[in-house]
Amino acid sequence: MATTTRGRYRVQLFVAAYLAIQLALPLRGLVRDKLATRGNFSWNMYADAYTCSVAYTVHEANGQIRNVDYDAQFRGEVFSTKILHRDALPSFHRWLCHELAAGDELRGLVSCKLNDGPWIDLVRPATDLCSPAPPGDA
Amino acid sequence: MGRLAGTWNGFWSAEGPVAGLGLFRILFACCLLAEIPTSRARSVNAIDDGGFHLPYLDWIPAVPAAIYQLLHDLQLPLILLLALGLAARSSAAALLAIQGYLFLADQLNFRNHSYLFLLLLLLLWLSPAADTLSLRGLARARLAGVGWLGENLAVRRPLTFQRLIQLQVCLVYFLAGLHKLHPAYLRGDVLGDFLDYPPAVLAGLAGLSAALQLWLPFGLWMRKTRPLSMLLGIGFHLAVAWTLSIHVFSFAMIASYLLFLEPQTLPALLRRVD
Repeated sequence: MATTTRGRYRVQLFVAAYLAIQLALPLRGLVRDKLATRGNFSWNMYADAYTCSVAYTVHEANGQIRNVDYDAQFRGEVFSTKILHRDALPSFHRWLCHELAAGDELRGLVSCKLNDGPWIDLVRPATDLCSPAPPGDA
Repeated sequence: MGRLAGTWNGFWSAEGPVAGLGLFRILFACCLLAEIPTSRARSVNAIDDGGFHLPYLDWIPAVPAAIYQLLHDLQLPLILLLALGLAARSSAAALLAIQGYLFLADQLNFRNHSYLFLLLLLLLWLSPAADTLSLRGLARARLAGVGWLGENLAVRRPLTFQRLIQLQVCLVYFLAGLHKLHPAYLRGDVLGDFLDYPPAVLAGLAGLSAALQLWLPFGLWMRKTRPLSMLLGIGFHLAVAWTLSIHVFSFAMIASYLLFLEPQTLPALLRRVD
């Protein structure tokens, strides 16, 4: 199998690009803490103890309050823990808010603990998660 | 600088027997087959059922349940073709497309197993893995009127993608080890969630697993330490399979050790068996 110089150059370019991506992608998971991102693509397999407590309520315009069954929003319990990070929660909130009637508010308590660390709120308690977050808010 | 470029070129352009790559292709196809039921159960976020979706890219659509099942059924003949080395490149490309879709359709589908398998599929697709230990090789031997095994073991190709798979496996080990270097893991807290052992045993296992994962990327490459590293790695993966029920991933990692053998070792062994 004769390999041309041009073909070899292309293969080596692919190798360099592949290695660069495979080194750069895991960096995100290595340098950012797990509260910020789940660290997919970083090979953080069975490396941390991550515990969360989750509760969402809908405050209806007529004053009634009803609980949101968090686990029921997912296709299995195994998936419900995957979005409990600051970078994924806003998408989930947008989806929950999309289902609400005008004037309803979504409020949540999402508190998580990484290994020995303290419990940290990932959403602002007593805040309508359907209204735009103030500048600089996580 | 010129010397460094020469070493780089020499490493990636080297040619050699690719029997190890062929055998890895067959074993990896077995892993893909064994993974289908898990994928069917764990990629369900790709189904369009009106529920919450978190695709990597907004334009990637979810599919009806019937299509979802079809995407899994379609993989069976493709995996068989890949194992047999018949239209293996096209099969690998089609598998890459199907599994890539299931993976990218929703971030909730993310699993390290499926991510690694995607990367391995990509590299196998680009590699000459189907040039040996395949039906194509059998046909070639028949045409030449020579023995099948001898003909297949003699095939020499660039080792570029074999080495890239080796590096990928090493990256998985090393990064997994790096992530474990913190007190809570080393104390055994994380393993304690899965294993019912005394704290001292958990701490010992945690330290061992982190140390081994950091060591294997180097131990597997070096000729002197390779046999011991392989034994330790196989023991580690069997323990993981046994205790955490992570079977397919463990088997795929063990199968990848074939690629770390000197390219001439496997042909020599198989010739002796033949």
